[in-house]
Amino acid sequence: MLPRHGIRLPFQKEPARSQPTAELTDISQVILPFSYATEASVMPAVSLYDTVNKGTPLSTIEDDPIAIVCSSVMGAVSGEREIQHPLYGTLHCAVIDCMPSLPAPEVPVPLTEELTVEQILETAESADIIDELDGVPLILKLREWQQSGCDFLAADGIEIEPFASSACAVLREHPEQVLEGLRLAALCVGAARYHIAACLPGSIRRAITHRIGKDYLYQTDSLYPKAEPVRFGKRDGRYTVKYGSAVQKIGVQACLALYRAVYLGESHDRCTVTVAGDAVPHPQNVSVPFGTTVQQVLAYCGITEPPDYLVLGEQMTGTTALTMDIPILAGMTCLLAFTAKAIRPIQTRTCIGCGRCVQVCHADLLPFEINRRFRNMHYERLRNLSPERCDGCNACSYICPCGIDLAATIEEAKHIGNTVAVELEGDTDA
Amino acid sequence: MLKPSSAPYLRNAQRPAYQSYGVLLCLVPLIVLAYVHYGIRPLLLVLSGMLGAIFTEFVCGLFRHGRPKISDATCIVTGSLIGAMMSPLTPFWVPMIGSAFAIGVAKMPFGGTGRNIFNPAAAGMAFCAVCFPTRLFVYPDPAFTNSLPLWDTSAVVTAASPTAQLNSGGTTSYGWVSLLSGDFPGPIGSIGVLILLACAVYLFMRHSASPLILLPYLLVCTIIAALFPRAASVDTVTSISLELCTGLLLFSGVFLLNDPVTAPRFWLARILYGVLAAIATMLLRHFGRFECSEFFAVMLVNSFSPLLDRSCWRLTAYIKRKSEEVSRT
Repeated sequence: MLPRHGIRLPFQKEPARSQPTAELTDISQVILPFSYATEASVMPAVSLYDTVNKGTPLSTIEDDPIAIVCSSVMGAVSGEREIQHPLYGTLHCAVIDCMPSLPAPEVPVPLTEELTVEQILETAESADIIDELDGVPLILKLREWQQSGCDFLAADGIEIEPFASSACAVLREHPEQVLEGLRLAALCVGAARYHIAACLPGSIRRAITHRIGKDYLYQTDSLYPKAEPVRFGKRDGRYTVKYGSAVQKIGVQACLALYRAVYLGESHDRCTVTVAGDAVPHPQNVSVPFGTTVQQVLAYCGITEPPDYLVLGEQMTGTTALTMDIPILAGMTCLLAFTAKAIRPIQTRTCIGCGRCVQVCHADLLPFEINRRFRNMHYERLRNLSPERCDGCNACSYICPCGIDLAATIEEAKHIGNTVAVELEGDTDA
Repeated sequence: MLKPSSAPYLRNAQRPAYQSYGVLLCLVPLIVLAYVHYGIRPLLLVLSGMLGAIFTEFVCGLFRHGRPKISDATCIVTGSLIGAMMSPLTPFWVPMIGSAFAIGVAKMPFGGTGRNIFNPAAAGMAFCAVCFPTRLFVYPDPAFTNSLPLWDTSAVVTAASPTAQLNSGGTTSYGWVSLLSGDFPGPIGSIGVLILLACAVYLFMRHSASPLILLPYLLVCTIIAALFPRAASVDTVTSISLELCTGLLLFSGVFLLNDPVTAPRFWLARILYGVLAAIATMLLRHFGRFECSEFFAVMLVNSFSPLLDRSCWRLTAYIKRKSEEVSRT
């Protein structure tokens, strides 16, 4: 039996996980990009003072129609801005002042008869659904898997990082809809089997299985970064179902958005975000329209003191933002606000060679050895240690008792190793 | 004003001293048992080992950095391990010299904590064994001893340890009860067999020791003891129990082999390291000059540790790559 690599992170999901999701409706302004695609030739479809409804396209893009962003609110365009988004880079955005007094948009008639695959795919495309797992439009993933084949489709609501509980909140409140959305996605890609994978506490798990049955919910363990599904519901206890290469994953919120697009005719204009951290006195899950600024979300959650660190994403892989005036866009599920008391600068020491980094590395690397060769400038020998296999889960940096940022070193080693290799090959040719 | 930072934002709270404190905590019950058998002397021996190590680390720290650095407590662990491997009759200056050698020769010249090739405690003990064998391997007879005198130990009744009896090819009278209750002559830290096993479990739980090293080590020692008993007159079970429970075999398996700095880090390398250590230990027991030679075995396999790490990692990477190629085709 080979040892399993990973770490068990201390969960700090409560009280956000067990509380109902709050809906942020009273917002004054949203900032939405005309497109997520930076290379495409974007033509704004709205101009200053134009009124927009929910689902109104903000731009026209000839070469990449999927990259079009639709308005998530009713309102009027009050300006355009260039913003530096920590996750998406430079975005050309429209500023929309919300006007709730506008007449309600015309809702398309929901589909009621038996759906064809092409109908579902067209609906997913027109609803502008973006998978929160990776920020990729759902239609792109479904079409790719439709062509390449997919046996097993999973709705990934595992969330094994310490704070995030947005998928859990969505699952707890809309399990039937998520399952139906997953069924529709599975129908599109031709997957014979589909399940929801989640790492849930017993009470929430029981409540969900009571509503959707035991067969479609796979409980996972909490080993970061690769949690294996553990299925419940068999009389002989639990057994492990390993993810094979044929299993494809989509987000829980994307499943819910697909359900709503198909059955309710709604476009994907909101996301559920976990707002937590020591600067947030009442951590909670908040459903916000895309484009809502971080400042509005934090003000709604009632921060007591201004945070020193604002993290977009989870604590193991998130990115810090230097301003609160940035919008929440598709792909964001967690927002952490920390004070300087929580994130103290780590006193870095020299490596003591304890090997904890090797024990937790799920890519089977030798992080301490990569660090040693990198520090000693043995760049030509870095390639032998395959640093390119690192996926940046940061487990080694988390566990290192000496406070060494091993993941950052490995990331640098990837590039330096490649550069040196190219130079050596060039020398050989010469 | 928001500040930049990089993930992970919250780190594991364990610092390097965490592992050291775990080992020190494990030594406490062993010393208490020795106190029950031999009085205050074992405690003072451990303390003198600690004192020698702290002093040497302090002096070396002054020379190297201009300021002493003993906050990670590794030198305290080294000194206390050396003290715990001594006989209760050893003079107090011996563990001090052993600790000074361990820190001043086996650790600091290589760059200090994390850079030493050999386990400093094993090196210190090896130095003492070579220089002062007559003071190291003389043990008081627990049947005639309640409390050892602090200074003049010439009147203490001594006895040959079970390891020495086996080494000379003879038989031994110590049974299971004596071995498990620590009622046999031996080094201070080695007489609490059950405590050592409990320490191993505790260190496993703290991730300060690895079962991938200790279990193969004990398994191979058991197999060799069963196949090649040192005394022809003892049966297999007695041979196994005597080999495993006496001497420093278990102590070095729990504490010395699991030193995080000198042990391999990769899982397969750890298994092989344990196997090699067991073979070296049993070979030295069979053919070595000293009755307790486990620290020599530890130093021997320490030198293979980096090689084992890299070669095992490459082997598994090669096997994984090949299996992926096969599954792809």
